[in-house]
Amino acid sequence: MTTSRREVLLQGAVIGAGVIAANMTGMEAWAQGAPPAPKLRRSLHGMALNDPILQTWRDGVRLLKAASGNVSWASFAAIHGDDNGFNLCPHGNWYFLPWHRAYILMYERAVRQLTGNNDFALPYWDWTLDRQMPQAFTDQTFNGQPNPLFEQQRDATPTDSLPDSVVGQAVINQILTQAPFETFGTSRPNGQNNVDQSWINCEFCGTGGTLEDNPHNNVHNFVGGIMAGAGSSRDPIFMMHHCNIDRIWWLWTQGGGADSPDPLWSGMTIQNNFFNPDGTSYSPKVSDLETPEPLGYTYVETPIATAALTGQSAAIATRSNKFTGLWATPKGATRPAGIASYSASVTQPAATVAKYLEIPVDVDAAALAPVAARPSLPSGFEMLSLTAARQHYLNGPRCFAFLRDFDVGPNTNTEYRVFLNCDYLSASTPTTDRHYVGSFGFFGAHGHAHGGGEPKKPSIGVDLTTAIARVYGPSATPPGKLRVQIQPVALRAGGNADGSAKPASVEVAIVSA
Amino acid sequence: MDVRRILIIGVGSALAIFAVIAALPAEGDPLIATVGKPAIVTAAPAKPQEGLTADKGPPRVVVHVTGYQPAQKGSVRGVVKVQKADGTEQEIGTFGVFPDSAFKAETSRARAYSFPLPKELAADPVKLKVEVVPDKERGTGEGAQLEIGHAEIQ
Repeated sequence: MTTSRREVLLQGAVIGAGVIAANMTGMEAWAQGAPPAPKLRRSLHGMALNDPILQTWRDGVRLLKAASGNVSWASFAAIHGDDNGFNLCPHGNWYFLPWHRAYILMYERAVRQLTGNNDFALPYWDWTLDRQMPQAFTDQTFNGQPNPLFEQQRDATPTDSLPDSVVGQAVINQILTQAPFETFGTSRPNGQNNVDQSWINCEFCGTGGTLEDNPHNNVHNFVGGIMAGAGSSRDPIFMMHHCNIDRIWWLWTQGGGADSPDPLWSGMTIQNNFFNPDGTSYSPKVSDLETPEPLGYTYVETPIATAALTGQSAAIATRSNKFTGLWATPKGATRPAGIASYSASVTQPAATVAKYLEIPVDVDAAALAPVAARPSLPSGFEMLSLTAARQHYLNGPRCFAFLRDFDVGPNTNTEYRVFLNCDYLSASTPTTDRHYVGSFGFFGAHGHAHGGGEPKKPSIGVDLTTAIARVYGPSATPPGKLRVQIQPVALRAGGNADGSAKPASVEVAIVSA
Repeated sequence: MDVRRILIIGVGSALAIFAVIAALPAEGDPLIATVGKPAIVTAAPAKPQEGLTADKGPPRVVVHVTGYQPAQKGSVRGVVKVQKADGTEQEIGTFGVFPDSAFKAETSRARAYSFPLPKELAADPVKLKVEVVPDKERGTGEGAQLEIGHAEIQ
């Protein structure tokens, strides 16, 4: 059995066991002794509000805001720009990615120094997975004190969601398949023929790539307020946004993308733009910024597994069988060991566009907790290895809902959306809301069956795992009651959606790890 | 005042008024996009530049934006569609203008946004539709405007 480098990386990211990978330029650099092991930059997805990483970021932001001099919130922000325009940062040219890598690294190093937490690494906002701003940044207070991560001037509310056209999986996949570097990471300034500093902040002198022009620009504008302007780094969510941009660059190179070999790019030294934690100037060369690990951080857990797949086939097969059993068990039959089952009959009126149907199911909160705490696969990883992504899916606990024996109405132009425990649900709640589970529809379920007689009543199954992890995560105790909600909506805007549907029962099944 | 002088003043005034009107974006200007009124621009294959050593990737359309006006409320994004010979449209990309503030640029300093173009469409000029789409959760996009300088296939 052979294991590709991509699979190794993915295994390291999601399974996290094994020994240090060989044949990795960046890894070799730090593994050979000089700097300590790089710190893992983690996703904010499901991160507990009292997680040490978030607590350190809160403390760091507070301390930087209180500081003066080179290492301070105001000084760092001024490097990027202010309300009058950009200062030193490049946009619309090929230094965009390396410059911002060094820029947020400056914050990471300063926060380590100021807080004394040497394990700190910036967390990232994986906006493909979490379309709404992370709660840690939208709560006005934390533990009864003003939350330094909250910014009053933002336009986006906690329930506003980023659309698929900006951060959807298809956009990320398209970005990750782009080549060469200047298509992916924005092109060189027109006419550049030397490495004079003036080329660095030659604003909009190149041609923007999708990564910069779509998710980067539009997420800035979506958050709004100061995030939509040149002084955007005054908002503490800036670094989490750019950390995800940086992660996508890292993902792109792990997937085989090659940075520009042109010395006009790699040979440029960014002189006196940044500060070290001691307040002296930090002037990296672009070639020093191509690989994160020598800079002290990574996006994959280390040590990285090389032999993680060995012996896993049998275990994966067993897991597969358990999932098969989950779906194939006849109605009412006892679930196999390792699957906890909770059921409720449905007595409420059928779901219609005007009024959704909510079915409460009592569950064991202790059984649900591991599902809520389960780490999700960061967006884009499946592009490195579908096999490893599939294994990640099968590993760990999952939670499903089976909605059985639907009574179905005429169903013209109707899509049925499933949400979980959403307190503000309506037909206009978007599918990008954190409570959204998935959609289904009926085809030929109304009227008579083939050959006449009563039609079979359809049943559907939906995977609640991601929504549970997104809504609760490890920070909150999951509730002992799951409210499975069915909200019909019009498939075609403006068309009459007269569908109605009601299952006879709902079963929630939790598959243990 | 003699007739000749009156004539000169009259013609001069008319020319001045014409110049002012000509400088304003006309109603329905094909290169100005607002919400519900897309800009239509034709992109032709660009002439190869001498001495350019950058890697040649798959075909792309580059749209040069010479002006932008943000929405009075909420944010907007640009959506680019290519109009195919059979009359159908295909969306090829989305972009945002950051910072979300007004700008006006000469053609040589236009902001360039690039989008992948299906190979089968890259040989001949293609007609592009550039739309201004509001973030509907936060506004209608009223007041937002994109001014397109030109577009090319690279």
